[in-house]
Amino acid sequence: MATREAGKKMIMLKSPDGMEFEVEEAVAMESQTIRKMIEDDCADTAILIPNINSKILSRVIEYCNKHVPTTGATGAAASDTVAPAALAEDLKIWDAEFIKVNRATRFNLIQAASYLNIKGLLDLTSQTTIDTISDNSLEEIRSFLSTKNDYLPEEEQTIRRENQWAFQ
Amino acid sequence: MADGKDLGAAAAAEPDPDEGQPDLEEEGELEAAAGGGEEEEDVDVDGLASFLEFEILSGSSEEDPLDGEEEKETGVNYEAKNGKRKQDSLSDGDGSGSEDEHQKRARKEKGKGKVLAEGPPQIDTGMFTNVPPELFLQIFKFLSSEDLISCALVCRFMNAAASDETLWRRLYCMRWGLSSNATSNAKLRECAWKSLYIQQDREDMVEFVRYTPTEFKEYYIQMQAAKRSQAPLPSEVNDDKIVLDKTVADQVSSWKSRRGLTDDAVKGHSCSGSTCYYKQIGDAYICEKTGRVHVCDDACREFVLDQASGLLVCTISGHCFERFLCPDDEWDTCDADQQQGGVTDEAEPFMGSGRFARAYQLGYSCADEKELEHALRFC
Repeated sequence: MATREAGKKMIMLKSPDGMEFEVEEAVAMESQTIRKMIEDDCADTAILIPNINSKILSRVIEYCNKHVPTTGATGAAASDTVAPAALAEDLKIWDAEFIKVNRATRFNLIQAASYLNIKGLLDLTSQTTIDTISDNSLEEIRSFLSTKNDYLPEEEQTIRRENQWAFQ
Repeated sequence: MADGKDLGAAAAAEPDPDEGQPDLEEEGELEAAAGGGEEEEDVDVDGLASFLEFEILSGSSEEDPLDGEEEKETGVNYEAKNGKRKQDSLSDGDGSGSEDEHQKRARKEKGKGKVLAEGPPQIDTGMFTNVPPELFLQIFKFLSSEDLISCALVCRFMNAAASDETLWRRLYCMRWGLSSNATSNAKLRECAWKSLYIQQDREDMVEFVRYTPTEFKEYYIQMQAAKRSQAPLPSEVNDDKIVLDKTVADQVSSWKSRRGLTDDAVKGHSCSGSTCYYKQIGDAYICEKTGRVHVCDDACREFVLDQASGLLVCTISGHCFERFLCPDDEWDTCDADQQQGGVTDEAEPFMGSGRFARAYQLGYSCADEKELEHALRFC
């Protein structure tokens, strides 16, 4: 992993709307997708990240930036069993702040996290989405997702009957 | 809401085969209790409606105009891609399985395909339009059974996504565990995990309520029902240890404790065959660094599509899975596999014992079309 010195390797990430982001290699490596690219020596020039606009990409990079030193620290600390509990706590609070975005952005973040294969971010965003879905009624979920009910009435009855136990 | 009635109809229409008369009475009581619950819910719905209205209004004002535009832009791209992806995701997870299951599922998928063909193959409105179908699994795995059912009722697409085998398997194993008895486990696999879960839940409920004093019955039902809202813990979401049967689970535990690994979830670790080493016990692959368990069987969802071979390859175990085949193009692909057979040379594909598996094995070493046709007669 690149050390935090002047000589560290930088990676150029490009969003489809033409913005370029220069990030440290270690930060970019948070994404398994980019990690593979780097390992395969495909990262000499700027890496074009398709389907992720600059606004979302910058947020993703923000997340990676925040999370990279910690994973580095835990990696090093694992042997001396110095658990950076306070650091983890900090990170949790930061995550909670980070995810306070509107729904459209959150869904975009989920997509980005999936595409770039950033496990932590994916879990964070999915979990937050689930927190909003769970314990809500059917109609509530439907309108939360602004999804239409595409069942035929009799179809819905059948499914309802099949699943009736959950509504007892 | 006619649920109270429905319930009665359902109870009458499908009485438990192994339960006799006394249970009808039992279920009648359940029904009565449920009817009471429904009424309360009705009142709730009104409150929710107004809450929702508010939620929508505030939600739409939150979104900045830029976002909307971007969404439109990418929306088109995704629409096109999703069409393809959709089919993949609907059809994934069919690496192997008994012949029956194979056919059953094939039929099921076919039926689903028909339904979908009539309408748009996915949600065409709303937020989730842009989310690739395979991500639903990623999101839904945090949900409890109760919530999954709610999701299933939202629309057809969500129903398919929320009925995924892996999700229900996990929930089932979380609640009841698997015995070390292989035959009883094999019996479990004869039907979908979702229906297993529902069936087991019903049996539990009947059993639970049978011996309770009448005056407490309602509370007991509520207590029992509360178990359905148990969502997987974060440590259980990414770890397959939960779905192992007892014998293997014990082996895994003892191996982990010898290595000094705990059951705590390791955050931010992304397991993959290129970065981690694994200890293999049966179907279970245990990451040597974190102790995370991956069970690689027909319910494996860790695979990626290998562009060169068109096979799904598990990133952890290296097992290859067939992509799901419709009965119609089964033979075509069998043929294609034969040509590309070299790719699967090093990792023996995990095929199971179904008809297709035999066809694959027989067809594997055929030299030409004719020989293949001949070989397939034995399947």
